Order: sequence, then structure tokens, then C-alpha cells
Amino acid sequence: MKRLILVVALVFLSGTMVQNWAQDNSDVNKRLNDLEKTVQSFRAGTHRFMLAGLAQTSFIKEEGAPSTIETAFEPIFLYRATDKILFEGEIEAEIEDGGQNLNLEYGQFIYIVNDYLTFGAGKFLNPANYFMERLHPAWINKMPDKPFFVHEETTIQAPTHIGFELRGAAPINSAKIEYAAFLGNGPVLNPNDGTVSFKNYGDNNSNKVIGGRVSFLPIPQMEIGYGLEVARTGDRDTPLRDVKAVNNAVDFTFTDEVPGLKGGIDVRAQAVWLTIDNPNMGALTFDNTSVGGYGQIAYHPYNANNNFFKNLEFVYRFDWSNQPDNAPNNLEMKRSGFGLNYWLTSSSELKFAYETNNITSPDGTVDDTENRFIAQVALGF
Amino acid sequence: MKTKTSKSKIMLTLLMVSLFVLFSLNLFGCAGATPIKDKPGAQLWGENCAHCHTIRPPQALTDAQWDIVGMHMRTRANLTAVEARKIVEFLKQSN
Repeated sequence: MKRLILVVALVFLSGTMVQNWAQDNSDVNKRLNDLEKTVQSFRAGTHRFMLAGLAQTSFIKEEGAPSTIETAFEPIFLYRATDKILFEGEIEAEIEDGGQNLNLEYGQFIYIVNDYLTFGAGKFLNPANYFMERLHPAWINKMPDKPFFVHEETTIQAPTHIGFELRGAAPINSAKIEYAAFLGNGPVLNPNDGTVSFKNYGDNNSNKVIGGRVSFLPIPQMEIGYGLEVARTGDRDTPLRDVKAVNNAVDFTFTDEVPGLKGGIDVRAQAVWLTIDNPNMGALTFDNTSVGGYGQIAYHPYNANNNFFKNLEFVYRFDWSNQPDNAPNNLEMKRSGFGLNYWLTSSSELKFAYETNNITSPDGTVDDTENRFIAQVALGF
Repeated sequence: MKTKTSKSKIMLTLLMVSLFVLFSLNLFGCAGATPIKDKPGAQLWGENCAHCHTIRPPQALTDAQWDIVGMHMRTRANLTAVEARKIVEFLKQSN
């Protein structure tokens, strides 16, 4: 009998203890959840503001020149004021070509008008220039440098515009069409050599550049685009004020996973034609058409069984830039480059490239071949 | 000069042929065309983000950060409204 009482007492006691323990455990879990929410609320980017960006450092050894190291840090500020309003801005701080630069890469107010239209105002990446708008950040660009046609000294298509843009996309069943139209400070003509500057910090006449891009994606992996920009380039109140510049650009993208290759193929190309009127005045008495572009193919065996091999990426790029035949200091450049990248994470990589650049002039006074090695570490965040 | 121009034309031709072959192979490999509005967020995430860059895992950012990035990329990459909404929903659910 005593044993029975003892057992009943023990069962009652243990039941009470389990109940109390469960209650305590529930309280602890609740406090842990509250604490987690509090900690989360202090994390960066849990509200309307977010800091993103990229950083890169390059080692460059060019044949016949001393090796050099360049670096850049480009923070991106994003502020989501409402579900329809966003501000995006990128500061570009870089040390290159023996100097230090601090630029506003872009800074744009964005308003989502409806499902098919977005309005932007400020400085924005040129929608007609696919490479600059989508692919130029160091952790996205598969080569450690930019193609000639968007490189600062040999640019023939504006990298950015200061003005206003309207853009959007619409599905067509399984396909998609993308569109953008913009207006901005136009390019400025140099009357001494017929080149134009795309810096656009101010305009030299009241005429604005008007342009746009339309692209079609018949399948998600493929995109074919066409961009057009038109502007008058001469200084106001000069005989050159009506000299017009027309920029045509076509771009192509194909990216897809190929199971047989245990990875993905990435093919891209862009070609640009810049035609400036020949006013037959002063130094400008020649057919002023510049062309440039690039083609690139990359293979990333990310489904390979070997852990080292799956992080590798193989790249080949060919790019060119031809200035007008009779322009002063005319040069034609053709470059081939092989790249080997090693992905450390999904947005950080080591890049190595070997490039051969052939530079010629139509009169035969220049015919050089320059070889170049570049090693780069790039991080997007 | 003409020789160099010819070389670049040959390289461009080879590139265009390569593109055609790759495109043809891809078309033959298509399982079927699903309308964009019927695709799940996970599929749209893979198709759209990988169109330009390597894709980041959902855990890389917080839910609030994905909301901001969704707006940023909707503008930059010309995502349709449906694509942007479904991709952000998927990323937040998988976070």
C-alpha cells in the first residue's frame, strides 16, 4: 500500500514538474524569438535603406610598360521610400592610370508608374548600352577590363545619361519584350578632331539626346536588342550647332545550362556605330563614322563533380574599335583575350586574363602589337 | 589592312555560326513554353538573375533587403511586374 502511495505521489510530482518545465520552455522560446526579432531589427538593411556595391583590385602587366596595381570601391545606396519610389546611387572611388577619381556613377529617382512603366530622373546608366547597363560591374564582367567601345579613352557610346527615362517590360505569353526611352544632356562635339565627349555634365546647346532601346526575349535564355540615340552636338550659336550624331547599337545574349557540359554557356555580343555629320568646315571634312563592339563566350562547369573544377570559368573575348579613316590621330584596335576565373563565392572571384592588342593606323605609321596580363580580385556585395 | 579586316570578319562569322548552333540546340531541347505568369518564382529567379550574373542564395540577404533589391533589379533588368513579385516572394519564403 505504501509503495502504491509512493508511486502515485511520484507520478503526480513528475507530471507537475513536466508541466512546469514545458511552461518554462515555452517562455524561453518566446523570449528567444523576441530577442531574435530585436537583433534582426538592428541589422543593416532591415528597413528601407540598403548598402550594396562592389570592390576590385587589379594587377596589370603590359608589354613594354611597368606593371601597376589599380583598385576601386563602388558603394551603392538604395533607399525604398514606398512600394513605388526608390532612389539608387553609386559612388565610384578608384585609383587608376596614376590618379585618383571620385565619380557619381549614377544617382536616380525611380517611380514605378504601373506594371508596364517605370519613370527615372537623374544620372542613369545608358539603357541603349547593354554592356554598361547590365554587365560592367567587375564581379559581373567576365573579363577584368571593359571592351574598347566603352573604355574611357575610346568610347563611342555614352556610358550614362543625365536626364529622364521611361522603361519597362511586358510578357508575350512565354516571351518578353523590354523597352526604354530617354532624354538627356547630349554629347559635345570637339571641332578639332570630330570626336564627341559623352560626359554630359552640362549641355552645349538646348538640343537634347533622345534615344531608346527595344529588346525581344523569345526564350528566357536569349535576348536580342537594338538601341538608338540621336543628338545635335555643336556649340550653340556656332556654325557647327546642327552637326548631328546618331548612335546605333545591337546586342545579343544567350545564357543557358548545358547538361552535357555539366555547366553553363554564356554568349554575348554588342556592336556600335557612331555616325557624326560631315559639316565640311575647318578640320571636319571627313566621313565621321566610328565602329566598335565585342563578342564573348564563357563556360562555367558549375555542375562538375570536382570541387575545384566547378568553380572555374573559361572566357574568350574579341573586341574592336575603329575610328574614321581620315580623322586626326585615327587608330584601329583589335584585341583578343583569354580569361580564367575562379569563383570564391557566388559574388566574388579571382580573374586572370591574357590579351593581345593589335593597333594600326590607316597611313601605316602605327602597327603595334601589345600583350597584356591582368589579375583581378572582384567582390560584389 | 584588308587582311586584318578579313580576319575580323571571319571571327565574327564564326561567332554568329556558334550562336546559331547554340540557339538551335536550345530550341530543340525546350520542354515546352510556359507563360511567364504561370512560372513559379524559383524558375523566374533562375532565368532572370542568371541572365546577367551568378545568382545569390536566398539566405544572402534579409527579407527587407530582398524587397529593396527587387525594386532595384526590376528597374535595372527590366523585369515584368509579375516576375519581380514572384522572385521576391520566392526569395523571402526560402530565407
